[in-house]
Amino acid sequence: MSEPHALVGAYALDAVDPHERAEFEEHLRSCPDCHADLATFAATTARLPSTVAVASPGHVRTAVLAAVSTARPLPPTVPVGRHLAERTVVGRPRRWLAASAAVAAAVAIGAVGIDTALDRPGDASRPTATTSALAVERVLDDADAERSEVRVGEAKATVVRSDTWKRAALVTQNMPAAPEGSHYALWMLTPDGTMLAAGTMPPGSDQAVLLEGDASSATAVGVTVEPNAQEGSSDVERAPTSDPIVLIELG
Amino acid sequence: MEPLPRHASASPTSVGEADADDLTALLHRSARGDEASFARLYGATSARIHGLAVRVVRDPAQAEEVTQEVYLEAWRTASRFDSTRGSVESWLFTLAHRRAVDRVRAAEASHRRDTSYGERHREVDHDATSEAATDSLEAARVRKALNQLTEVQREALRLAYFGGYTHTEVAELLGLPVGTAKTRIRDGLIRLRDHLGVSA
Repeated sequence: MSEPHALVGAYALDAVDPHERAEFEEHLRSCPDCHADLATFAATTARLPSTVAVASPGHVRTAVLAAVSTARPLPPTVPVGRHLAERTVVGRPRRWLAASAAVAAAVAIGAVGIDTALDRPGDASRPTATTSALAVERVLDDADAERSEVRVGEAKATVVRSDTWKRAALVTQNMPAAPEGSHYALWMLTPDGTMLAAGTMPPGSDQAVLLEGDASSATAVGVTVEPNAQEGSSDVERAPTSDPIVLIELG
Repeated sequence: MEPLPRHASASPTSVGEADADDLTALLHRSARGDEASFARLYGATSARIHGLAVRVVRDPAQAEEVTQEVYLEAWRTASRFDSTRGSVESWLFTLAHRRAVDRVRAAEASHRRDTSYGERHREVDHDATSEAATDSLEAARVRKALNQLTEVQREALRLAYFGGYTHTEVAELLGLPVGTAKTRIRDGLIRLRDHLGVSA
């Protein structure tokens, strides 16, 4: 594709419209030449601001340092997650199966929701899926239950699947809040690659949620960031709108 | 920690006195929550970030917002910075430019917002802005390199980078056929890169 290749300079200067940007980023994935050009162009444009430097007002510095003191820096992304995040940011959401294959190691955290998620309170008014504490406890208490754990930075997600009850629960610790106007949706991946809606995460960083549906044949549990439903419309997700930020494969 | 290739300015300048290694170390410490290091990073880069924001968005109040957003984002995502992909300055200025450009384009989309001139141009600390452009050896070097470009290349670069225009808008502004502005921009960047001796 020579057409997108010609855009490398304009792209380096953000002189592209959103459509061109998406198209070029798609091209960039498979073009080492453009990657190399882009790196040197970024180093080149980084020299330009010196020609327009202006001292920033003192109150801006004060505001920045005050804001910083109340916000925790995000944890680093794991390498496989960075890979997925890059692919997620651009273009159409890819198929779930492709994402699943790409992260066979079972860890995937995208920059998608998390980058903007910090320090935003969850939407407490959202109805949560299955919060039957009793059922969750039955699954968690099952001594024979299978446990699959994924850690991303300081966050930890554990899926506990009980063959006895044919149900699974997701337990989270230090999970950052979903971005404003969105929430975490839960999915179970079936052996034939179908995504089954399994409810939503209630707001809060430390949760134990029972996944909806029979979990006995699920091969993985995924979490996606989904926009909140419009007022009054159905709250049930039928299919994910983006790649999972976390994917926990089950044994 | 291995040293970064020095493609930033080799000699000290009045705006970017910290060298690339220092900035990388400051950013790494910031990622671990070190506010003092972040304050030093701010000191070493904010004149260029803010100058860029002012130049692109024009409106002083909005430029201040852009500057704040950029640093907050840098603080939060410091751990995602990958020194094998480029310098801290590259990373920061790319981030700042994207935000500034998004800001002007969004503002235009909503008809430059419906705020009055007076509101948008509310008072800014006088002593700070009156410092005017901070000149430096580095700026002189970059200007000299820009002078090696053809007139069209230089104008195309200026309109795209500092004006925040897309290459199709640049073509229109310069009376060029649509396909050629992006070529001029690319060629101009290549020539600038070579005159500045930038390597990947």
